[in-house]
Amino acid sequence: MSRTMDVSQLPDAVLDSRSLVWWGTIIMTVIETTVFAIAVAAFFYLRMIAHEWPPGRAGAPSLLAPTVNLLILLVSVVPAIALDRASLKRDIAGVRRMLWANLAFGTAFLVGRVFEFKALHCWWNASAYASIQWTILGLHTTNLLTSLIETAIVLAWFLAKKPEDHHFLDARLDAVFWYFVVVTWIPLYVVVFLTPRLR
Amino acid sequence: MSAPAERLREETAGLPSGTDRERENLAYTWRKREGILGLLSSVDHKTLGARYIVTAFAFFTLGGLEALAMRIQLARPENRFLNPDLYDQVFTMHGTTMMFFFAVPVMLGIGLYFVPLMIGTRNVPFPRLNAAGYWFYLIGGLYLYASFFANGGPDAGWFSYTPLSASEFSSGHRLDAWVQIINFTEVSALIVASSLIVCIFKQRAPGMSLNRIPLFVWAMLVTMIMIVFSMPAVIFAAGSLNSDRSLGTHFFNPAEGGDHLLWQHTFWFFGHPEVYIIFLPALGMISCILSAFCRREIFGYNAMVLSLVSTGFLAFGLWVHHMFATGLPQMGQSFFTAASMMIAIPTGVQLFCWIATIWGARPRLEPPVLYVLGFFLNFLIGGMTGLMLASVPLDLQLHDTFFVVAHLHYVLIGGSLFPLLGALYYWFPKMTGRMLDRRLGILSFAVLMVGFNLTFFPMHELGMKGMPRRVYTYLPDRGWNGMNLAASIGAGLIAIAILLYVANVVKSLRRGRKAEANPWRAETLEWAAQSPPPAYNFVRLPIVASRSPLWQEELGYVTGMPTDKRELLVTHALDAAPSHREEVPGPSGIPFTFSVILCLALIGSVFSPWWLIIGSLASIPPAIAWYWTEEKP
Repeated sequence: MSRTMDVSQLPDAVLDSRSLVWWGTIIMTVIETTVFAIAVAAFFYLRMIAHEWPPGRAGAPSLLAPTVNLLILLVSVVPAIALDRASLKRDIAGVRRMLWANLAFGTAFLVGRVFEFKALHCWWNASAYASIQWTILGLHTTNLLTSLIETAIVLAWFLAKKPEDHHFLDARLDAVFWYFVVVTWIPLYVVVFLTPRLR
Repeated sequence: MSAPAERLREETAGLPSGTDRERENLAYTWRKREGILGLLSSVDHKTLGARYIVTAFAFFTLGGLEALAMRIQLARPENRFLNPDLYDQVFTMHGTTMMFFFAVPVMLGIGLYFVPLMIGTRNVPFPRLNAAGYWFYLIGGLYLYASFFANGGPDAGWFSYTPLSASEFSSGHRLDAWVQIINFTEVSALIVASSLIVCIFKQRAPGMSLNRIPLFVWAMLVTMIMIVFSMPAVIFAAGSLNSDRSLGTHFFNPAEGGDHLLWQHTFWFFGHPEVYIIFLPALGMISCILSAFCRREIFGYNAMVLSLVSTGFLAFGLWVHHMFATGLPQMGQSFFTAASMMIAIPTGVQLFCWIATIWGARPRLEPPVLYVLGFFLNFLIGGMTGLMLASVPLDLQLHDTFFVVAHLHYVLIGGSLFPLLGALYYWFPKMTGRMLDRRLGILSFAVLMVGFNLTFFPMHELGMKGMPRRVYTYLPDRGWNGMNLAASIGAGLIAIAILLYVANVVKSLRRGRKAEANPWRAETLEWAAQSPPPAYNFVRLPIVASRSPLWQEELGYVTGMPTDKRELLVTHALDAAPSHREEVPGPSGIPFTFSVILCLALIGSVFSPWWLIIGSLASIPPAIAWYWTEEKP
């Protein structure tokens, strides 16, 4: 007598950590975090062997623009959480609003990123210090851009078509990816802008 | 039950074959597209897996020809077959091809093909992404060889140490090609890794709790997790070298605060785990083969799994043993010596478990088992020389000599290629529906065994006698002549062995005996699918109640999966209890378009960085289409 199991009554979409795409997104953030970790390791390796850090010509980075930008990023978590909740409730209007808000905050942060690069006071080809600083900022900017494009695509769908369950999941994952962008930036901010001031 | 249905039931090793209507509906829902478009749009894990395997063997052939060219050059002193410049390109191409375009991708391909079958699911979770990954890999390989044939082959060795690989010593685009293909292969590896990790955690057949996962799947899981944590290091390294060469950064320029050892650290932080990424799947294959041919479960399942996991961890603590000759602090040397010796422990545990499995079991001496026995001998030698090289004083003496060449080939060919050839022999009936020829199989194994040892064993002695690796020739009075000639003859034998293997495949594809579903009477779920498996793998998904489902009881099965949608059954990560169903996309040409655009951008960036920006912008429309066509591909 063989055992059988009927799965026809199981849900055909879930909006949480049980779903495959959720796992895929988490693995992607793990990969990206590893890239950051390697870059930070390289940063401290170069610092360890340096005679002067930062090299005299550049001087330590300014703090005003990066700190303001960090605050923008921290505040942007609020609409991201709201997006997360609205998606769980399948609230189409709420999701639309919060995707717009995310897009606005992301764009503001992206503009601030330009001033962060300026705050380094050096071009990438000035020294090894400059190269690794630009690389870390650049890597984080890549994730930022990815997140913005993702937000725009999901928003376009929510404006143009009737979303199904898995679109709400995508909206949630957009928020999750934004959490990743925020959470990784906090230690990177410390590394890029604060540690060069330590003697 | 009607007679044909009865026969079908036998063909699926006890799993119910379903009604005609079910099979027709499933075949229609999971159908592939026809023609060229179908070729470019396939997302089936078996098709992609088989493509990886076949492509990898094509590159293996090219890498093998390069090896032969080197052996012809070194067969006698002061030979003029290859000039020094070409020799540099050839050994770099050989290493790069074998590591990045054969060894890793072939393991990815086998994982992609067999993991979903072994855990009882219908496809991998992100099929279109996997299709894109394959195109990345293929285009990367074609680009590398196009450069090589245009006299632009990289020439700084497969690990491209700076400053040799920096622009001051390598102008032109030779090294740029190498740096770019790293990106191509790593992206494809990361894609397969993400898919298989999710697949293994979330798509196992109901009842296949963690302690019932086949050992091969465990090995693949650990390997894929290692890919996730190691590949970023080489992407960072290659990216930095690329920007040093093309954008004027100073990562590896000591004059501006950079450092050459930074390259070695970041490269080997990837490079050492890479060796285990190639080796661990082979360990899984050995477990499959031994349990099937000994007709018993592998002894010490828990010890085996823990060994795999601890090998995965330890592999990340060894990278500095490649750098003993760079003048490290003594404390560092001692630490990495200890770690390098420690990794012998889990490998030893597995060897003893296999011996315990074979003990008294009277394994059938089919070719797959012969390859495993060949592994035991060859890998043991490779492991022993590894322990020798782990000790710093010996390493300083033997560094960059042929002893290292002998060691790494014993580990990689003995430890990985032997099990791989055995496993392909073992799984060939499942993939093609035909059996390979046993006599030809034994013959090609025997020739390989002799040829391999004749090639690489003398290299130990050559290294001890001081012959450095990567020299294009040597003087006749060094006492190296005889051993070099022996190695070159051995290389010819290896080529004959591989030709015999390929001849066996070609012959059997046409005229081989038809294979039933489970010709070896093995225990894992891939043998419950037909040979070759249909696009949907199983008419009804199996339910598992033990580690050896096909040996134990009649298989249970799942009902209520829709036949008109491409749906997967998603289960919980630990106990594999059903959680929900999830639809996955079907065939699509978008991954191909997307990867071609990105690849062109990367290749273009060798000539001008603007290509990267243009390419990134051009890849946005396919990215949008990717999302917008999710439901109806």
